[in-house]
Amino acid sequence: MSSPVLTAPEQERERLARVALNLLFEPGDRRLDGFMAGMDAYELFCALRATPHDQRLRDARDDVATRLDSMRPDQVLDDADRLGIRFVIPGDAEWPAQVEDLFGQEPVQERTGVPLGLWVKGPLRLGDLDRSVAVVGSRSATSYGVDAAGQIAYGIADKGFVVVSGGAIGIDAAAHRGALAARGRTVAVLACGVDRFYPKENMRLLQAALDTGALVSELAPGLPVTRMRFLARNRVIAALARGTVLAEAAPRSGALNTANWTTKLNRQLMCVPGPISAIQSLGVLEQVRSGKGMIVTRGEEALELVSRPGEFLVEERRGPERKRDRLSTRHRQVLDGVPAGRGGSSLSISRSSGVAFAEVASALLHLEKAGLVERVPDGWQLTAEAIRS
Amino acid sequence: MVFFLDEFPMFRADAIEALREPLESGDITVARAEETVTLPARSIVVLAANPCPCGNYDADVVNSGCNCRQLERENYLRKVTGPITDRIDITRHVRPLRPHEFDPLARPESSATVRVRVTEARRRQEERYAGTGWRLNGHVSGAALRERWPLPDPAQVIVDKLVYAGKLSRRGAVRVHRLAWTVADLAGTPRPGVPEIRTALRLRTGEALQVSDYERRSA
Repeated sequence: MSSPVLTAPEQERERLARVALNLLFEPGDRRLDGFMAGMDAYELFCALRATPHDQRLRDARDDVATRLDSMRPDQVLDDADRLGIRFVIPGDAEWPAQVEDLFGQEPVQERTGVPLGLWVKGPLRLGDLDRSVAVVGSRSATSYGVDAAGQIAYGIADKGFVVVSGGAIGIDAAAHRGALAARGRTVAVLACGVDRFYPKENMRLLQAALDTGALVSELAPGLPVTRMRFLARNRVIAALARGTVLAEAAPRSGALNTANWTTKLNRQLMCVPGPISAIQSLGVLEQVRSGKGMIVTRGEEALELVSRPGEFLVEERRGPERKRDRLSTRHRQVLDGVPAGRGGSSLSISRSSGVAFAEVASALLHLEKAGLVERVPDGWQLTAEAIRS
Repeated sequence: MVFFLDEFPMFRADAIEALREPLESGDITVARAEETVTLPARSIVVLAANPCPCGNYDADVVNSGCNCRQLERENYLRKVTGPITDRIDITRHVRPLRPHEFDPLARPESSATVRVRVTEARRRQEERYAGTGWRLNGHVSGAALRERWPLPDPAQVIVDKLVYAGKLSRRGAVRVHRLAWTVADLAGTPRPGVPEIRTALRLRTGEALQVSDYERRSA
């Protein structure tokens, strides 16, 4: 449903019409995808203002009738511009086309569909979100979850990816902060106008995010949050990012709504494991249990999952290498037969290790060179280093 | 007074055992051939231990610079468990600061700010215990706590269930009760309820705190 190439005036008329529709309809109104499939925003707006024949259009018109009279899209756009806020729509250079994956999706709690446009404040261009990962979770978080989210967000931002989250307290705040600590960029997708710093506890954080990143919302400047708007917002987070990391979520947490959208959109859902005794982990672990989410423990692991094969290869975690690791199995077998703290003859070592006498002699020389065995008056014994390792 | 034992597991076992009595009663009895003296020994006791004898152990093997053997590690940590642990009210695992913790909003509290909060909490306690001979939550006997400063039912039920399940000793239950009062006093809450008892339990077990446990004051 990418839009045809429009000339500049056409694009501006389309923008104004989309602002108008944006002011009329609640975000995620499930009817909009259907309407917009058959006409552009300007036509839809005109159809709503006239008396529509189509029953669905008439119902929609009834819903928005009270808003229709008082609405001034041109003024809203001008006011937004003065606040440094822009309304990004399809056809703009920075339009994040990945949100069009929302088109025609079955609604979750009645919310679905491609946003008509996105209100944006901040220097980050939405086009850069093609390299982004969302990190979300409960507002009621534990110190473990906050630490984990911060560390993972740091790892993601450190590699130049944008960290997307919801600007809420708890896990969201930790994700934004982790990205900022890496001198990375972060985007908060809000459920209210981007001129409102909500929640107020995160005022300074959202301002810091604005310096290099952006605040994004479907809601026009000035509009407050509502419960439904949070649900609509979650689908935008999932759609903007390449994948979503779920750090902590109790079984009824709103973050699970974002997780659902992530899987619906065939994006990678990634889960931060936590203790089975913590309620904040249960919602996350359930995603793993049902096979929807993959466990991640570091930012690099998240990037590996959302990138082209080979772009981010994660090194397997291993303990420090020990001298024993480099030995052949036969040599290790001989080493196991060498006594500690007293000497043993080659003959007794052959007996205790079960390796042929002739082979034991050469193996011992090899082990001596490796610093694992040493000669003593009555034969061979383990070195102090061999005993330690 | 603060009594701080760094590298606690390095102390001899009999020295550690000798701590038991003063930790519980607040005084210490020294008996020699001729006489026996009992001296006041009440203080805030702080024990520090590394995760292993060399101090470089990290659960993240990539960051772990530890080359202690498993057995050495276990022997070392064994000293921190047992009867002494039952007398420790707050257990916290502290890791070295990692890069993600240095963000532009990280504004650690100054000791001066903390002092104001602690002073205020102690003042509340003095007021509450006026005329009893006690001054601080740590002094109050278990019997008096249950009698005069009980937990509301839903909070007491949480404690009782843990005792019944064998997860909390009787002594531990009293200590958690006291700590819940301290949590309430620090937050300026008139009396402890379910959230305070949960915080106290998490502090005791070393579990991760809820962010709301410690950020309530900034809201």
